[in-house]
Amino acid sequence: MTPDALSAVKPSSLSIIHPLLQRMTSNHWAVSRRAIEADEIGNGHAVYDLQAEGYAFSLIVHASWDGEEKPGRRMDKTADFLLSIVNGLADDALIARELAGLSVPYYGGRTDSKSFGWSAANRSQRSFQAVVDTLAAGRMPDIDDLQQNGGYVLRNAGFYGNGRAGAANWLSIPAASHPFSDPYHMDLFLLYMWREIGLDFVEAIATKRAGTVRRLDPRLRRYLGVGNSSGLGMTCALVRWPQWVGTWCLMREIALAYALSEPVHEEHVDKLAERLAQAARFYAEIPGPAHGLTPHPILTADLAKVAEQLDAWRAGDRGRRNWRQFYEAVRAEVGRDAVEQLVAFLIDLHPELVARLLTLMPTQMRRTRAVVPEMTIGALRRLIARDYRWALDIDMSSQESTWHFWYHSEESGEQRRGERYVDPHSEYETFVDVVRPVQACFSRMEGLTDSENVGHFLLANPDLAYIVSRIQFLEFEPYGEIRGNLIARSFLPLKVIRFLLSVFGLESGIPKSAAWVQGVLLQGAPTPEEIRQGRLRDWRMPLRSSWNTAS
Amino acid sequence: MKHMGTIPVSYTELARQGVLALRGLGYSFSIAERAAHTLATTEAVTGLGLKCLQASAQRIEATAATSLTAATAATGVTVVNAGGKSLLELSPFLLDVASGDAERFGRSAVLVDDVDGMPFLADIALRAATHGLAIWVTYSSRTEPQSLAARPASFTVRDRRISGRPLADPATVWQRTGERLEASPLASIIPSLSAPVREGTGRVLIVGGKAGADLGMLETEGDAAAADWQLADTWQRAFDRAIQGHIDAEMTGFDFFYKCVKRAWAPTSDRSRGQQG
Repeated sequence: MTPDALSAVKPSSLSIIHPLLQRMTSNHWAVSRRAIEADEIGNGHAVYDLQAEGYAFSLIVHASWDGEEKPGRRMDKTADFLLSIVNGLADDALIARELAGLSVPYYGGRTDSKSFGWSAANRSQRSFQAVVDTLAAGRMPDIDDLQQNGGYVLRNAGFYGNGRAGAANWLSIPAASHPFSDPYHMDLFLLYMWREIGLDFVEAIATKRAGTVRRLDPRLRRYLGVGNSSGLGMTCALVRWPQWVGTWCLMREIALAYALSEPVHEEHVDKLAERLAQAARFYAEIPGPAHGLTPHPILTADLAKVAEQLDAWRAGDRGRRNWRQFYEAVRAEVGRDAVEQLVAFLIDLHPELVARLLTLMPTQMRRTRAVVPEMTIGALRRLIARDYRWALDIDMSSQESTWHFWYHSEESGEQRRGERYVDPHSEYETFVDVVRPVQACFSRMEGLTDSENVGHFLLANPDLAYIVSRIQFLEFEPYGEIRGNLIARSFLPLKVIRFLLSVFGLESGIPKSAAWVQGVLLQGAPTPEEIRQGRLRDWRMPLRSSWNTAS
Repeated sequence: MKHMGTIPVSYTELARQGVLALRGLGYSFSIAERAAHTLATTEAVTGLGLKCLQASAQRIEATAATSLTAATAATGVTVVNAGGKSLLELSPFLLDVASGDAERFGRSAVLVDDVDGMPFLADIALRAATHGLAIWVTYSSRTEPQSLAARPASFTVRDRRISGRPLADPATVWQRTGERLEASPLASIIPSLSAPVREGTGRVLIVGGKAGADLGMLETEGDAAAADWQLADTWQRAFDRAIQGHIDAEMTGFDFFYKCVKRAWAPTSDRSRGQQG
């Protein structure tokens, strides 16, 4: 898919947060807070325990506040909140050890395989303090103010797991039956927990200040989400893990094909009409992108058109109606974002199919890439001609087409994007550009006999091993590659960043620059108590006007 | 967290950060992302990966951008002159050749001369085991103290099991049938095996076949003089332990590793800071 196509994709039941919450609810995951201590400023710690599907975990939280807003960089001196998720219920010694490690400046602490990793979060400069102040004064925060300031009190600053700082390898988690065996489930569970932890600390600090117990209205707690800010590193991640991109998009295509081939049921039409109306209101209520993506006024107008088309279509000859006909009619009339919203809603009409597809996803996502050395040069040549024609056809001869390069920044500890003809150190370029290596590979195979094998070719051309293994790996993954020139001067990273956030389940991302997308996740999501009781509401696209109606 | 000069390190940390570390020493991304797994695997199963990286760093930097020479004879034996390159860089590629030829032709043989970094052969053993390839390897080296190559040795991978033993003389190898190697299709390389190893480097012979193939077994000249050499037997178990837990790496090697990592970090210019995400 192209960056433009990916940028329009909308969250659906396939988005990872939804199967995670489904799993948490179905299996009655039980989160309990063992301890929380906070002073009037916000320094303190907390311990949470999780019992899930026969496994136990503890979350050890370190909180500090130095009065400075943190951008959320890897090389920040610290984060306002840091946690370690450990295997089993932590005893006092492990809690003390992890708190000591978390408090080392510049993420300089170490852990070991008892911890699955560390996660960080920072206060919303606009909301956290205001909510504490209001609550300490004995009043409830104003929901409109909160929404205008992002709809959250904590902003996620990343999960550093899978071996980082000595933490456990992700491969150590059993591929089946473990609560966190599915890709990204642990990452998103911790996002879910940051939402709870942030609100718990708001209450603890307000209580300390007031000298009496202060609690947020449970409805307010449910309405607020967790902030997220995603940048350039997401582009590298999407290129690095093509099997995730390919698998998710393939499942989406299968689900859409199924939905379009199903007979038309009136209850589905009713549901779709209801969702379209809710979506139009939702996008009208929340801030939208100012540049680079479809502005919300255009999207809401398009969704209104889709709703009108649906009304007209359902009033037509029932015997001749089918979903594909409707879908094609919509595609002809409205922009890409509204079409993708329709696609997401059509997929959501078939939860049984989605559930079956989701069972296939982890195995596909866990596939590992390796060179297939016995493949012949002839076969590799045919594979490139079949799957990478788009890359062979891109003209990479101009400076404009090779303008950018990604690199690991010593300043931020994260991926940054430099300008190749201005900035130094392009020799340490992070692998983001697929086009030039594909072209180089195709070119260097010229003159070789078809019968020669890849093993010998790579011994002579070791710098091509990665791209060859990638081409081989994606032989049956038609959606694995982002089909565009990601190092061109004109490329906007926000397009692919927005896509990854949709895969996670973020309903509206707002680009703050060409390479930086903010948003809020889990707004309206079920509380830990609802999950423990096995109650999963339809919580998506929560409307401000209805925040206090759900029980 | 630190005990007796060691530090708990995860396999994945070495494999991920190793890409940067090895790029810091001059390897291209494509080579570094494979060699990082070789490094992590070797550290996991022998505890020698980081130490060998540090000991070989200058040679790695000197040879990272050089080319090797390779030729495949009519007998199917591929002869490689590594020009002093390290097995850290070459192991995956050598196994590719052995594996690719074995898959297509039933049998393969790769002789590598003038090669450095014998401890990284452990990666070949592990990769062969996980790829379902039957191989045997013999190697010799003269000047690698504290490494697997302190004496000539061999190991075999058959049916996902690895076993190893020292060789009195790598030029004199026998097959299980009792037939001397000289009588096999590999006879043409015997003179090469017998030639002196260049000072400071080593020689490796990899013979491979499809999983389950009977490649014969290497036998030591005379009796099993040092049949107690069982290090290779422990490799797979050590690897599994590293995945399930962690690796206790020596601090000096670990510190050096992160020095190499930081070489590949680049400063952020004002221009790129302006478009940061």
